[in-house]
Amino acid sequence: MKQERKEELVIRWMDDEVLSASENEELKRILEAEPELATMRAGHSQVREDLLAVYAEPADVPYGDFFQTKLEQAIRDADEADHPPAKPAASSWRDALRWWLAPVAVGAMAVAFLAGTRVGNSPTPERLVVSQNRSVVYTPEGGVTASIVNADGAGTSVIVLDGLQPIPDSFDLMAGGQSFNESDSAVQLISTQRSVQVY
Amino acid sequence: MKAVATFSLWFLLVAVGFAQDPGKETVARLRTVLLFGTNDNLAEVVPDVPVADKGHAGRMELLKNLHFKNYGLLGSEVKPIWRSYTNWSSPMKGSDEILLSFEPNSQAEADGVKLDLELWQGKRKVMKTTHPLKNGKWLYIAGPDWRGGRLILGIELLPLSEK
Repeated sequence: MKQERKEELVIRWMDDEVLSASENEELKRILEAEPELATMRAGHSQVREDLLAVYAEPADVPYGDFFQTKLEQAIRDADEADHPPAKPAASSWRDALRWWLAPVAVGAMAVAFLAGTRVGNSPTPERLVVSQNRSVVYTPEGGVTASIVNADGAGTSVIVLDGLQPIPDSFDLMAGGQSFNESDSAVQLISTQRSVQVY
Repeated sequence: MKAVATFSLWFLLVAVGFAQDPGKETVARLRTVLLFGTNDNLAEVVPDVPVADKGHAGRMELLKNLHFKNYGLLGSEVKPIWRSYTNWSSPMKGSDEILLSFEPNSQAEADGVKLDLELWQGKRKVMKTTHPLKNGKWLYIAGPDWRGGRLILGIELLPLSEK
């Protein structure tokens, strides 16, 4: 008997497979020649029982339906990407609604942006003035407004600030000791000091 | 001796640093005048205050709602405009009630420069603007009321060559 045939029969026997009558005759002769194989079979069976006791019973994959659904969806998406569905010849009312909603959405975003600028600390439009020569005047103080006037054709400009806190009349002027020039004429420098009253 | 040497080295490094700082280069000069416009008698309201140059009154006459009979000169000052640093003008000497900060906003040209200007009143910033200034062209900022009149800050760009 060939060695391969002998090993095949022994392994099938150890795995409790059902053998034919001729195979049983062959196996009987092998066991008579090698009686220690019976002991090995008992040990093999014990090992198999021990392994089955350690490992749990085979169970189904958890959430199998969920994963199956996701897989099917992914396959459908891939198919649609490869073969995009043809557009209907006539546009539906949903397409018309989409075109109508686009400008409405843009307007809503603009309104939201303006509302956000008013809620925050950003300057209100009244506190931000732009002149003809693109000068921008910003008045951070509340209640202060600015206006820009291009006074004449000689290039003079005037920024008028209204709403500033008036300087008290008690803010006194006193003559200083220095001199300076304006338009080539010497004039006396005036210094100022606040008059402080102590109670 | 060691302290003297250390101080000398520190002073030398600072001096060299400022000398090589291109941002400190003067690109133009700014004249600021603080005017007091009033319809009352100037000598009675603010004694010792000189009458301002008649050119100011002539330019302000063009404004309909902001024209006064008399203009007094409270102070004047000429300060350098640095290339990339902020400079301050306090035309009212001895007081920081009215201050103006200025800094170039763009490359200085031969005939003008665009400046970032900030007006401060009582240590509070009341106005900020970016304004193109031309040589010899005046910009006036009508500020707070005072003694029945109004304080007006005049700004004139002077070319670098003019002394």
